Amino acid sequence: MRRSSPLTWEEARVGLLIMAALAALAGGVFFVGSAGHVFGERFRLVTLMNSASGLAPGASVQLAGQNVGQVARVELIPPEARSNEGEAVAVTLAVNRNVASQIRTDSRAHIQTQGLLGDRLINISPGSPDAPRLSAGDTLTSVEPLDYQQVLNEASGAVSNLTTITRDLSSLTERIARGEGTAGRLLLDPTLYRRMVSLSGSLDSTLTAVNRGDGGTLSRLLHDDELYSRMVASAASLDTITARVSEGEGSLGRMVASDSLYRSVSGAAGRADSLLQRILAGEGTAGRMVTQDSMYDELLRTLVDLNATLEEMRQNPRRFIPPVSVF
Amino acid sequence: MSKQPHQRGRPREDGWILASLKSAAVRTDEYFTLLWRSLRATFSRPFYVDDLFQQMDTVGVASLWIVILTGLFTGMVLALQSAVEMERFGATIYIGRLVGATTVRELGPVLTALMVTGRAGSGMAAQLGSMEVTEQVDALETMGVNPIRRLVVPRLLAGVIMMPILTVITDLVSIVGGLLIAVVKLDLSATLYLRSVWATLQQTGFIFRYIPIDFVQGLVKPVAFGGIMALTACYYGLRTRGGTEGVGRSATKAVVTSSVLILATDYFLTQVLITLLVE
Amino acid sequence: MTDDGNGAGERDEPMVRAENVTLSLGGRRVLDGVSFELTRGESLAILGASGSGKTTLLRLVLALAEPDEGEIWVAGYPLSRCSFEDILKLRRDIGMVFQGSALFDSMSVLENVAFPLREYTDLPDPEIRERVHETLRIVDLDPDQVEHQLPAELSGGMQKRVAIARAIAPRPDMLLFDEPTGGLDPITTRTINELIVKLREELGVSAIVVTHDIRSALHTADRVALLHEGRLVFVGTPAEMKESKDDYVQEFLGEALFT
Repeated sequence: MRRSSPLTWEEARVGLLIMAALAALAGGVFFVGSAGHVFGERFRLVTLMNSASGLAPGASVQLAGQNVGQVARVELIPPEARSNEGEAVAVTLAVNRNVASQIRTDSRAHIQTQGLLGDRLINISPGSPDAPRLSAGDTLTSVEPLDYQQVLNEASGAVSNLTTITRDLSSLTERIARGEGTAGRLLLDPTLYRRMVSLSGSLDSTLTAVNRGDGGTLSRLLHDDELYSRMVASAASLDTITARVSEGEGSLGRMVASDSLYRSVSGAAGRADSLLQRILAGEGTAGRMVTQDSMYDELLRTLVDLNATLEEMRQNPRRFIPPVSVF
Repeated sequence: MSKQPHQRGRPREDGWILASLKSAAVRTDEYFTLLWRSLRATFSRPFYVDDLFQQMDTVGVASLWIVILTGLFTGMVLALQSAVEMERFGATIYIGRLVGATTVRELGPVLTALMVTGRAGSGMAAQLGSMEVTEQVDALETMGVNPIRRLVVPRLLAGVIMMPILTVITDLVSIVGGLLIAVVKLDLSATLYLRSVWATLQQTGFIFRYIPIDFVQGLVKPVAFGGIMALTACYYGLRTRGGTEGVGRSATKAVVTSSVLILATDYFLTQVLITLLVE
Repeated sequence: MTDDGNGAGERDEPMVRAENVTLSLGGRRVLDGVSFELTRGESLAILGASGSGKTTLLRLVLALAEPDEGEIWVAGYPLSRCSFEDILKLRRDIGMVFQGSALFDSMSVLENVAFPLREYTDLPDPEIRERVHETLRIVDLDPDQVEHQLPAELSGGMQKRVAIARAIAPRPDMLLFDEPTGGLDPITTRTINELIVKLREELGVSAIVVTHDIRSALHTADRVALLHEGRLVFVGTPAEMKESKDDYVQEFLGEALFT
């Protein structure tokens, strides 16, 4: 009826109720909206995948693990329209515009699983600075998600290989402990030691003879000073040579000044290193030498022969030292 | 309804199946005729604004408390029940999702509609029923007032307007009820719970970019339910016969019929809305 | 209908004319070939036992129901050929007093009586209130005392007076009374009957009074009609009725006067 009295709370009840509900609704729209990032500008990217893996519209899109958007659409591509074999699904992503600068041509999208319920989401890896940006409508390259079945199959192969290796290793160490092979004899057989002792004895007597000055090169080296004077002269000429070297003259000079030699040497060292590794792995002649028994026998024989040769050398040193001059 | 139903001559007796089929068909026809006439009256003059506000007060404000209590306890019991299950998987952080989704999409609209039907729908049917049996409806007509325009339209609109509003309040209170249990009994943080509520509502997507589809679902349904509640109450109210006893019968019938109609409509409406909104 | 209901053109037409009206409700023939006329300014009492179709006849005159056969003219307009809007206009000139008063129980006495005024006129509030007070005084109620009361707070007799006030507030051409004294004690019955007579004298309206109370009928009516099993068995003045040779009329008179 027509209003003739001042407003009362009674009359305002309906209005209050409506206002409360609208406020609640507006709050809800705001909070849900901010959970879904709908209040920022968005742009769309497309990514092609072999399988959507259960991805649904509304699934979140993350950039380096941070929510930045949502999956807008998941569509099957008809076989005739596929640009690449196997890319059967086109996923349209709505991504906040404020992270556009992060997404470059080398960014990759892949499907991840999150949480207890296994929610599917798309994670985009941030791009590198020198790659160009992606703009709306561009296609983002995808990375196939890990197929757990495949991972498990491969892992089981790896595990069985590991088992084989440890079994071989244990039989190897067992054989070494039993004294088999070079390494085993080296550890357990005293013969080599004894021969070394006798070798050092022979060497000692040879050196005594040299000391006594019974002629021969070695004695004269100890007792004649002609060598010294010659060496002084040589040192002088060496000095001039090094001076020229330090000035970068000649081959040696270049050797010192430029590092090409060093590099080739270090390359050689590297190759030697790899060679040694191969040897250790038992490859090739040297490898077999290290790992096989026959080499021990050869070595032993060689030591015996060497011993005999030294014995003979002590008795007839002249036969062994040819008359040569040092310079 | 200005014309009394009457029969020309005496029809042949039908078997009970045919008879009940026929009466169901007649009632359906009457129901939709009432709807059609109400809609026509809604969009033509005169329009009884004061009656509309009075009905909005009756439907809305009178149902406010039961709706708040319903929402509160529903939210609390949802959180409590799901906590028992989810604790076994260490998934109590998902309680917000469960409470948010079920409340806004389903329980909020349906429970509100059922409670308001019980509270306001029965009252409407009883009031119109007593007006009918005391010839007040006829009195209106003799004074040149279309009872549909004066009685049905304000009630129908009040139902259609207030039901969504009450539903929003139920939803809100229910989420708060869940929050209460989550924080007090399950030791979850309020922010975590609320974020989980928002997250699940956002997951169904948005229309017109900003409006969460779950909200649309949760607000379209109560509009329909409010209409069903008011129309059914008016229908049974206006066809009340047989004095005071008839009034009671009409109120009961109105509540039972609208409850069933609301639950059935809910299913079909959900199906339609999902198809329309969620692609 | 382009002209107002009480335009000068229809002055010579009878207020109500019913011809061969037949109606069945729920398989029972309630009215069977009823014909009667009500001239302007005249008062007709329709008598009959309970369930004889009296109330139905009033509903037909108000077009709240439609006859199966026959036709009713109100102010010269055949109801079966009137649009709904026309019927609403015709009803404006008719005031109806329902059996149970049918006051709107959510409204105060003031609002009840003001209801038709608000519907039919654009009068401002103070003027409406003025007319309500005036009308309440006509039915011998103290406006200041009752205007803010709700119908439920009033006695049956007062409710009836308010109902009459509501019916006459827009100054109709014709008043219809459905059992105006039904359910009232004898003293109140007499005052209501006196009120009806007074109204007819003061306002000069036509009236149809449906009643089973023969005293009431003889007291208030120019002419009396007797309805029996859906048929009008007698139409005439009260004097003619007393002298009627019809068995049912005599039986009815005897019974009614006796009790």
